[in-house]
Amino acid sequence: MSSLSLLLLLACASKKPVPEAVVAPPPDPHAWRATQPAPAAEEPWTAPQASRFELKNGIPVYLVENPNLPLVTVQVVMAVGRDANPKGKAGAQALTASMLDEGTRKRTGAQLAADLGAQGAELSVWGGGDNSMVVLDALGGEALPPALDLLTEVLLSPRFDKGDFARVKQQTLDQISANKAEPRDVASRTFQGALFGADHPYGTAVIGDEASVRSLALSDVQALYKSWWHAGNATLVVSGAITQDELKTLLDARLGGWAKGKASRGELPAAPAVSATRILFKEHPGAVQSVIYAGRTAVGRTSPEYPAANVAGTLFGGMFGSRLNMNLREEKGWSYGAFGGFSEDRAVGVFSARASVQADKTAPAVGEILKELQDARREPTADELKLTRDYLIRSLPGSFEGNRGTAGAFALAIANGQGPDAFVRFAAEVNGPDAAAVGAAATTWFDPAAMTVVVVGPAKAAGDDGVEVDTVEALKSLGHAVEVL
Amino acid sequence: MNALLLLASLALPSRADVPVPEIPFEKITLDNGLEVILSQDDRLPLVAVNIWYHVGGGNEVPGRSGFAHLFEHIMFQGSRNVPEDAFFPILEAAGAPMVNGTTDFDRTNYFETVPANQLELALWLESDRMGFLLDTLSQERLDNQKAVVRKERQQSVENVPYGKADERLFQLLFPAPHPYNGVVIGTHQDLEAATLADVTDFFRTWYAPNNATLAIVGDFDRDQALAMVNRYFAEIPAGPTPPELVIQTQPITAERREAMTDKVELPRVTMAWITPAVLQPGDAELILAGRVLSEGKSSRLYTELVEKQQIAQSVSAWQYSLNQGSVFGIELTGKPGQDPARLEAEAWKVVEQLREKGPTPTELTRALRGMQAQVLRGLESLGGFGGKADVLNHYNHFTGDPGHLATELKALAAVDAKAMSQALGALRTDNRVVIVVTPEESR
Repeated sequence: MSSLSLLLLLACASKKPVPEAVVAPPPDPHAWRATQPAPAAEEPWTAPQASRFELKNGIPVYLVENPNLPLVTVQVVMAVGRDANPKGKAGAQALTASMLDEGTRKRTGAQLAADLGAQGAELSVWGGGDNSMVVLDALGGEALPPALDLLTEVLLSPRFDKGDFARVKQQTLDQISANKAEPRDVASRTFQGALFGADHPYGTAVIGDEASVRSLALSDVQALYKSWWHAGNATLVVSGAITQDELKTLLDARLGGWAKGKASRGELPAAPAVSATRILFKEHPGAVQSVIYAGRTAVGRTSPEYPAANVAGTLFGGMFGSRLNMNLREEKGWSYGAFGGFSEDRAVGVFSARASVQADKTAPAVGEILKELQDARREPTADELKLTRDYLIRSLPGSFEGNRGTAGAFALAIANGQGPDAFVRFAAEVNGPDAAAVGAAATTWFDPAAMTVVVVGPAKAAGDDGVEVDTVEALKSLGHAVEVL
Repeated sequence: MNALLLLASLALPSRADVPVPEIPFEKITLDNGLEVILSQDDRLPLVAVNIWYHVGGGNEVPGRSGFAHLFEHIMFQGSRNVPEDAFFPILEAAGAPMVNGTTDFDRTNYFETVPANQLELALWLESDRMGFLLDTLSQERLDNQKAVVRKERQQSVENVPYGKADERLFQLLFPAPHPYNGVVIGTHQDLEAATLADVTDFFRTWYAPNNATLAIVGDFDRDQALAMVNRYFAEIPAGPTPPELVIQTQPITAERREAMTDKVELPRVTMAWITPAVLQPGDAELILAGRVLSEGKSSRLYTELVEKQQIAQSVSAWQYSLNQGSVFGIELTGKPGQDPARLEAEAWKVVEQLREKGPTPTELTRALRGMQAQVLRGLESLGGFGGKADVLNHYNHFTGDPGHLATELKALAAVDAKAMSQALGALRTDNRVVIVVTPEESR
């Protein structure tokens, strides 16, 4: 803008009589570059929509055909989340998932891996917060049926060998131990625990804690599998080089006989209410940075409040150019990056702002995060609203470059209740809330007096001036309750 | 301007029937030396712009470690017509799903995937920083990015378990003044020492169109794109021919071993060797050997150390292919309290056995198919990390032929048991680096 107006001024000036002694500067041959190019006409594009069909036993299958490359991803979404854990047995759902690729009745874990590898296929199984996932990345064509055979064995006839269980359980315990050395993992776990409390299924890490995992027996895993891993809890999402007819034939023959069971999830309990901001500090001796999580419980993905919250959250911390990152990274130079936004959980979502900052600036960084939150509690300007909407809507095609990404995006959208047309509706959803609605969401969710802040870092840190900073004392000076964990 | 039309039509290796797609592309060189690779793919209304500058951490001089990466940051700080801190927001406003840059020892790349109707915007941004970066460079911008990069070093090297061991590994493998000495991100001291004059010199030496390759992959009209490329890049003058790199990579003749403690819970042993350079004989063999040793639950190190003996929590073996000598590494994370010496000895037995008897035919097929499938999955993306644009630029950088993927896949398919054994024969106990990390006492 400013360069352009400068050009106009120059053009006007040249019309005036110029004293002979003054030689006009040669025109800048690169002046044309000052104007940012305008976009060309936008091509019409419709977001992919998954087609839906059912197997003989009612399992819903969603397919996004993608003939680009001979690849097929099959994502099995099991509605088996943390709420499937029996009381005191956090981690049972995740350990059950971990046991599934440890072999089937027909083959050991090593044989299974070898047979998948021979087909150029990869299998991943994991327990997530809301769901358990089994993902098969296979080659298309003739390599697909044998890979689907193996997937079927994994789902329907896991081996559950005693020796394997002892090893995988020990590995889980050792992983829990190893995670203690990862400040980010410690912060994330502590944050979830602080938001939801020990009694809520979301309050404990998916992997479980040391005591709960230690208490797990093979019989727990078998029982959880038997009641929860049934056709009634299964949804398949497929993306790749295959037609619906081909896929239906292949899947019916393999999974069409899988029986339905009874266990299904209910409503999640509400999250505890927060009345005042509190800061929880957990020492990580010797760390050179502190990891900060600040946030609160918010809304589930299908809540009518979500779209406005998401626009507000993206403007606040979802982009590189968001104020949060610009402040802590570009202006202060305290952090490599700071981001924030709303999660896409099924029922109770979370809003968080996150950063890893140089240790001696821990408390000032928390202060800046709270200040940015307060500053963001207003209606966005027209430019801000347009920027955020454009970013969200126009970047959407980037989610569909590969089968893994496509299947994952649809799996999430279907699992959290948005449905297979989620992406077709996405632009309307983002454009729905006006500035007032986005401002109202920001005012509601960014209240700096109702935040839970978790800090994981060193208790003492040397400042630039050589003066040692006491992290807890500095945090206390922010005027909120500080608890040392 | 000379144009060369190429079509990489990939014949399939006979032993495994993984189909490899054609990547049609066109390579053009502008008069100022800028190489341009065009490849159309109109599945999505997106276009990936990906520039490789043929300079990386490997071109640094002693005392300026981390400079290539620091410079990469400066490239995002604005140029004559792009205001400070506007590079990302302009692209975010355009709806770019991916914007980033990476620095490796051998090269630096910059990429953005943008909506198809914003190709001109991406070319405007890239050409402005290629041609006019220094116009607005200031001490303040440099100081600010020094601070950010030092935070990045803290976050990615110092505040992660084993981060310092990974840095030490490359110091022991490539002693100074070798530029692979350490991590690409550099040391605090060297980062702090960087001056504005360094930035200017580095830009003038390396960041000229004749030392760069621009790949455009996606949904675009060929003639229009080429016209835009000419408009934005052709007037940027060529720089002097970049200096020839003369680097002596000294072979390791006696084991270099170091023990260190860190804020970790589990012990870790890393063994590493200097191995044949990228795409040289032996590179493909070791890429596949890494998979046979540690890819998946049927791999040799996993089955022996994690499953059978249960002395390791995780294992990984990898070939990191580089210009001045690659690195083959074996990383063993032990069970709590596990004796690292035992981990090392047991892993070494596995390696020796693979070397002596070679892989089985099924192991070889599995490793090859796994690689082929991995390549295919990479090609699903237009741009970003390892997408199609990156693949074309990768092979162009190392061989001059963007379509060299076909040749590399053939080289991988041609690896037999004997060749893998032979390549593993170069990994000995007297030419390796070993780093043992154990938990600090206090923990």
